[in-house]
Amino acid sequence: MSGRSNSWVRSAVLGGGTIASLLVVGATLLAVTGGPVMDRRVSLLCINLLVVLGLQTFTGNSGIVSFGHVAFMAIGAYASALLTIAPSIKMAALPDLPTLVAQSQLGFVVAMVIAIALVALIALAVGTPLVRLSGSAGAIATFALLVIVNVVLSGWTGVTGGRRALYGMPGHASTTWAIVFAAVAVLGVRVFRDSPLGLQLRASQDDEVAAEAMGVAVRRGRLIAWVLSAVLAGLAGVLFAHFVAAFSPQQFFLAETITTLAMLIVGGMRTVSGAVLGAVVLYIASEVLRGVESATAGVAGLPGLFGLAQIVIALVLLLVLYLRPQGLWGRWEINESAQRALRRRSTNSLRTVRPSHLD
Amino acid sequence: MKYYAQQVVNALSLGGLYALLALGLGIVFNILGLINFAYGELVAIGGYVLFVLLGAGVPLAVALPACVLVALLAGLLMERVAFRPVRGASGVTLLLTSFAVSSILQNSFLIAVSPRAQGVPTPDWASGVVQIAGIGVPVVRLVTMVVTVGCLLGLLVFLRGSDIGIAMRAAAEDFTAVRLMGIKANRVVAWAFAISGTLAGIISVLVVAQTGVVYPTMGVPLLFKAFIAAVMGGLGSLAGAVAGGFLLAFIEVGLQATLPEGALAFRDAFVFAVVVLVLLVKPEGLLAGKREQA
Repeated sequence: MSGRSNSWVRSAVLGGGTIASLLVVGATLLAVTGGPVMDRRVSLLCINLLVVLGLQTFTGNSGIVSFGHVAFMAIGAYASALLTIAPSIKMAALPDLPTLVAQSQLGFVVAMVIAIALVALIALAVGTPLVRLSGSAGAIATFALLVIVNVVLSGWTGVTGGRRALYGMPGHASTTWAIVFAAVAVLGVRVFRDSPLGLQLRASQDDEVAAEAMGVAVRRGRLIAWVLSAVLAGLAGVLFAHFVAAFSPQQFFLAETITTLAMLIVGGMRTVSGAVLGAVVLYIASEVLRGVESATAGVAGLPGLFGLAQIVIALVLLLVLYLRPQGLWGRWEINESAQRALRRRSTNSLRTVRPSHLD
Repeated sequence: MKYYAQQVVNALSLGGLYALLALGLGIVFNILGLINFAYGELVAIGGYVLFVLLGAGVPLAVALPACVLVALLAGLLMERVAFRPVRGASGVTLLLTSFAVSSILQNSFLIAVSPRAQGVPTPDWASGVVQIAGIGVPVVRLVTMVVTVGCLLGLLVFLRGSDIGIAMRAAAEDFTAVRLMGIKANRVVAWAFAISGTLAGIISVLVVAQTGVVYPTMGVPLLFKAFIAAVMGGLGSLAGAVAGGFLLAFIEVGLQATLPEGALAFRDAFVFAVVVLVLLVKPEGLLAGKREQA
């Protein structure tokens, strides 16, 4: 039994590293060979993937579905944007910004660090009461968070520009940043999932009372997962802010929430492999459908079928909820499935009689 | 004095609307444990039906019942197609399902009609003002209050007097026992959604009469109100839903009148924060009266 204490690290690094490598290779190939459009798509995929990974960290391990992570994406985006936009724009468009912020213009990396620190602080403050709620109550509280952040960002016109688009962010977030962050996140989230803390959280998902009876500090574990997941979502927001020319609060509301939740659940919320699969599959589907949406514009005098992508994503989510709630990927991570298959094959070939429950 | 009386009238009429909204949401939650996030879209369906019918010149006397009927049928259809496959699943699966349905419907309005708000022709008398005891009461608000009272009374009579109404109240406490008594689960659930849809239809008439427009996401703010009112009043109690509706209206009108100009935009954020507080202090408030699911 001596290998148990660090075999989880090996397993996690193996599994996470496999997916991360696949991601880096695939994404880089596409971005380099596909031209600027594909390059952009790869970036957006990685940004969405970061949010989905954040969701997997919290929802996948604790079992509490979070409708609120896009709120952290918004906070990260606005914080980083407000720190990096040129003072001339800020003074003109955002009169209520504190003078220190309005007159300064920070570099991308510094702004990113500050924005993420802010996200972490807010997540800690909000999460401390929130992790006391389980199941539906917790999900609803996260939904309230989403709405509150949206209302505040939309209403605080003097600081955030309100519902108007915020523009002027220097475009620093290259595709490389996005791919690297996504890959590192894949590895990190997988390590967290397999760590003793992740394991304890997943136990609490199956039976909270039993887990607590075994000594699991459920609330503390949830809070740690919550803050980590918020940081990932905030990071996605920062990258997003510097990737687009302009954004407004509505981009961080219901549509993005449903899209990222669907990606997680369709892929399979219990595993990192599932999260990545769901993100990739649904992103490809939505891009194809967006093509259809634009292609139908002007056909027979009709405006384009805008909204089709969202409908299909929601339909796919429904189908998965009805027919395969554990998601497309299922229970076992990519390297765990491989190990189980190998073990089964080796035992079969030895033709020993083993009690089936040991497999 | 007159100003306050005016505000009270506003709050009462708004409260009636919110009470109906909360009831429509609560009646389904009571029995199924499902918070139907697509409930706002049922109201939107009613609104769009009005838009189509009134725009085509159909007389009001036909368009109004038609709108309510379509909303009722939409509610039944929603249950049959979208929610029956996941009946008995965990609360969160139900939430996600209703979220997805909501998204599908909103985007369908976008595609089928237009992303832009569409004006609905309202009759002239609907924009009039009636003088009662020296206070100018807009006709629409008066009608809202009357309709609300009528609906509440009707619902009360139905739930107390009719067999299926009693079955529904029993199902809210113990669905299994109701089925053991020989009452089909599907029937009870269908009636709940039918009532929910009917209320949505009535609400859509009142809302369109007040605002005069329909747009794809018109159901979203209405759902928020319904949800907040229901949680504040205690999900699981229909009387609580009504009380929550009036409470929310008075809070909103009160905040509107007293908050400084700059803070008004955050009014909704405050209210949602109150919801979270309620959840934290009394999470069983969500489950009070909801003891067993189908």
